[in-house]
Amino acid sequence: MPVSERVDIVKEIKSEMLELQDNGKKAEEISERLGNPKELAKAYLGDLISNSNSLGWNRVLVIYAYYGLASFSGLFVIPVLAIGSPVFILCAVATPILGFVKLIDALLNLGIPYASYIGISGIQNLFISLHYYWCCIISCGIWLLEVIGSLY
Amino acid sequence: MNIDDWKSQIKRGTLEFCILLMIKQRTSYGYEIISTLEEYPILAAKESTIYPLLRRLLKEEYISSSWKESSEGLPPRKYYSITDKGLEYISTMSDEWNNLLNAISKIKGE
Repeated sequence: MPVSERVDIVKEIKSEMLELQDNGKKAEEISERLGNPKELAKAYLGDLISNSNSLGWNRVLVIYAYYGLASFSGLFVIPVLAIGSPVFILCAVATPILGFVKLIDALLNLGIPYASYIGISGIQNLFISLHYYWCCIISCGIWLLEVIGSLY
Repeated sequence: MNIDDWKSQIKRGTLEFCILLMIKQRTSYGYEIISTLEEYPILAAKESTIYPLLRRLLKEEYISSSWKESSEGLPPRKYYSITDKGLEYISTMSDEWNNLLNAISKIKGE
């Protein structure tokens, strides 16, 4: 049931409760009159369920859309995320370490073997290590977003 | 003799008709409808029956609703009024109701 409808129902019942109160009814009398809240809610829902069991064309389309989306998610989205997430984790660990090595190498002119290969092709300078930290932060962020996303 | 069972079945069938007739007479709100029905023991129904029923009639567009401010100190009320579709429905129901009454009186042999 949509939120707007729920709000409307509660507002209507509340309106009656206040009206009863205004007529001099006690709180116990009002709650007794309205009965068990669960029963009242069930009465609303029961009406809704018995109304929507017709298998019309629209309903078929809704079911088709649901299973279409579910199978798309199973075939593509989940495998892509399953492969993508570990790669992002690896990047998140590797980039700061490599960035730090590059930074030390560049600052102290140590000439660590292969350290000169760390970098993005075309850009070779001291500040590249800063760039690595940005990459790290962004990839960590993406990984976190994926974790949050998969929780839903 | 289980008359209550029979009465509740009668009520289930006629409550919709009665509520529509009341709303046709004049624009009304939930509590007022329930209070009026309470005057007639055969029709008396609880909130848990009337409100879902009103909601269904609203969905089927036999009635329409609007929130209106009421007198001082009271919260706004949700007023229901009849639609053209509702009027048509009432007239069909009235015909069927008359058919039923005629049939009963004929069977009784009056």
